[in-house]
Amino acid sequence: MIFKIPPLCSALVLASLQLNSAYAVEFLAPQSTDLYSKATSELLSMPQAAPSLVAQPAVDPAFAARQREAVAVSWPMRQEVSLHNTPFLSQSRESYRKVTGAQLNQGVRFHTSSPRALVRLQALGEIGQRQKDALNPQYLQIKTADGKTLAGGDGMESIVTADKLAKADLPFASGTSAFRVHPNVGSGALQLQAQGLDEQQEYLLNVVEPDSPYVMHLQANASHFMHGQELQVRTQLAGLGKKHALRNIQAEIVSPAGRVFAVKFKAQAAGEYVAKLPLDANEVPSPGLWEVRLHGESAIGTQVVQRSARTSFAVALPVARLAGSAQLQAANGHLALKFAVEAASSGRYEVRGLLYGTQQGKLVPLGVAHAANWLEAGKGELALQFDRTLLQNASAPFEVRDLSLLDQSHFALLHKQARGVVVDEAQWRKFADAKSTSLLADKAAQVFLGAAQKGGAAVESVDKAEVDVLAD
Amino acid sequence: MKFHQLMSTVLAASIAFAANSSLAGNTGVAFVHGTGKQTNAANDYWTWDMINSVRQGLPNQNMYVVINCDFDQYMWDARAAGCLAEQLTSFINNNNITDLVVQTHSNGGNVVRWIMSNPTYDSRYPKIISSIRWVNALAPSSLGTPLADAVTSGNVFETSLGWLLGYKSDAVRMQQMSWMASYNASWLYGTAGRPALPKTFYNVVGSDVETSIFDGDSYCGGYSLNLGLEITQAWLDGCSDGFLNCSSQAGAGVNWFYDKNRMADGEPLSHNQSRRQCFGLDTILRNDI
Repeated sequence: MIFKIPPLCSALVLASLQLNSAYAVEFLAPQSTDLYSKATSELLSMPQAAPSLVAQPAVDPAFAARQREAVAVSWPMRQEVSLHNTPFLSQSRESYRKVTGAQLNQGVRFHTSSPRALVRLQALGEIGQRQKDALNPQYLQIKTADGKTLAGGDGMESIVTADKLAKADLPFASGTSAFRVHPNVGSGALQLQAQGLDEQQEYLLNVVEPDSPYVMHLQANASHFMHGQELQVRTQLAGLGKKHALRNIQAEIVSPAGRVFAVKFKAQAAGEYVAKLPLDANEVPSPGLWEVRLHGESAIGTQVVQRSARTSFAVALPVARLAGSAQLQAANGHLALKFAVEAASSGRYEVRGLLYGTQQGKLVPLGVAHAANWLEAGKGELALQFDRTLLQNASAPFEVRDLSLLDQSHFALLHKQARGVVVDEAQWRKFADAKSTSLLADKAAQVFLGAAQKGGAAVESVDKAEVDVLAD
Repeated sequence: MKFHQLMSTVLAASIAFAANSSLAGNTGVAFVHGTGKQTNAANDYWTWDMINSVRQGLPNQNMYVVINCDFDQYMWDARAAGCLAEQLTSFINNNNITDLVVQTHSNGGNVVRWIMSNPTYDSRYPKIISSIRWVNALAPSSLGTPLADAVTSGNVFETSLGWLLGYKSDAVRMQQMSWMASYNASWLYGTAGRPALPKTFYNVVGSDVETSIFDGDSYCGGYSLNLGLEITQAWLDGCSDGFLNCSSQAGAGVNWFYDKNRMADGEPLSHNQSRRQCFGLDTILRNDI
């Protein structure tokens, strides 16, 4: 089919060619709390798996085609956001250990620091075998701290056998059973004993103490890292207003591909322990996060408190970076910023950011924009396009905050900058009334407007206090 | 872009605009299940009683879709969000849906939130987002659950790649609390301090579990399902639905209501009951359409 070009369109295209100029805007320097690659020389290509070692999933041609489509969107967003993320604080009142059938036949001692501990037993090994090897708590004996032996379910409550748990549609592994220690048994050093178990069979013994005052804390110093950065992870055992010395600390860090790094926690002042590890993310990409896995115990008075904790974090291989320059392009009142990107590996990359504008002399949030496209290795660019409807009632200076570059092919955060780009009043004035059609030359950004709201009376305003009341 | 391509884009945009202007759209409802690989979610996950009751609120009761995807995968996986996008796109296009109410349960909320937080990941996403009126997230696992940590910890003990040998569900790994914290801080929107989602995500929060064999209400949704939930309370806060803490269910978007405030006789909704025709939940969802 041949389209006849109307004269008006020809004129528009010519105008766009004439007005399609761009102006550099101020790209602020990243701060120490930002995530970024400093230089092109830091970029690394993504390692490839040896073809013989990995079964390659069939690539859906439609998906592959969509990976190469440019998509750009924006939507209004008027709420303040936090530009600095606090890493997750893991809190544990439980412990995990592996025991054998032989040990259970002889009696396995475990420590509790509060009544009504939950004991979970999971048969390990071949999946088909697990249900057969599952332990029925009714056939276990409990020896209490003062030497009494209880059998036949005495000393237990809320017994759930593996059969029953399997019917509950919960994601526990097959061969898992559980019970809670009866309140009359109390706490302290308890013993669990079985009879006639296969001595080689292994079990997971998980003791959960929801009512214990002793909590192990574990926290990394960031939630996202770049390859080569140093991880610092802290732990402490807190309870009854004190921090308690830990002993027998065992810890490891596991990468998404399964590499294991042993780490040592060193005692600091004030009952804290810190481990450090320079992060090496140069591995064949695997989905998922890095994990810290920690076990430790503490002698508190006559009690022994055992705890296990895990936490996670993401580490990105620097396969691409924002090159540190951006150009302003405005057309028909829209605000577009084209960012220079350097890539060491081809892939689908996304730039995203929050636009702030000036209202009554203050910078306020106006909207969100994302733009993604397939980039080959080398120099490329991605353009954020903030729809003009987002800019209503706001004026320059504008600022793009929470500026991020993401590797959509490998789910990695490559750049995150609290304050990214500033468009000052003089720069904006040059463009505000421009009639350029330059954006028609790219795939136009879509805007999501008018998020519908339920009627005000239908929505509950629930604050933390109400949650606490409901919890009682 | 070459000249003729540019003009094609201009003309295509004009045609699309004309088409949208001339055709009135339809209201539809989509049911998006939680963790698990579903092949007949209407029967096995939601139950037909629930679906048939809710869809009575539609102007045309045929304008509904029950999603069947593999939500044992990470939320972004082609078998999860990709499958959801495929089924929603077909539903929207085949029925000219312009006003879509999405009902999600549990981890289904995370998969929908992935799509709404990452509109550029897949060129099908923007049209889906544009079509959505709002999302009703029934007991969404927005901040993860300590139970996912407990399950995964069991597998960690088997080998460093234990999930390959044990209960294999990347979706369960993903719903560990620290994992969801990481994804919420980078890829997902709608949690505290993070940018808002492009369409509103309304939470329904289940706050308790009743498992008394003497209380008939415990049987709604299946008694055996509720039985396991009582044990899981050991890992959870005082306010939970037996699988998720209230804080997780209320962790993204806007709170629509807590179960006891709206359910018949102030009954709580356990995690399994919040996807079933229990205590008037279906009527509330029907009237919301």
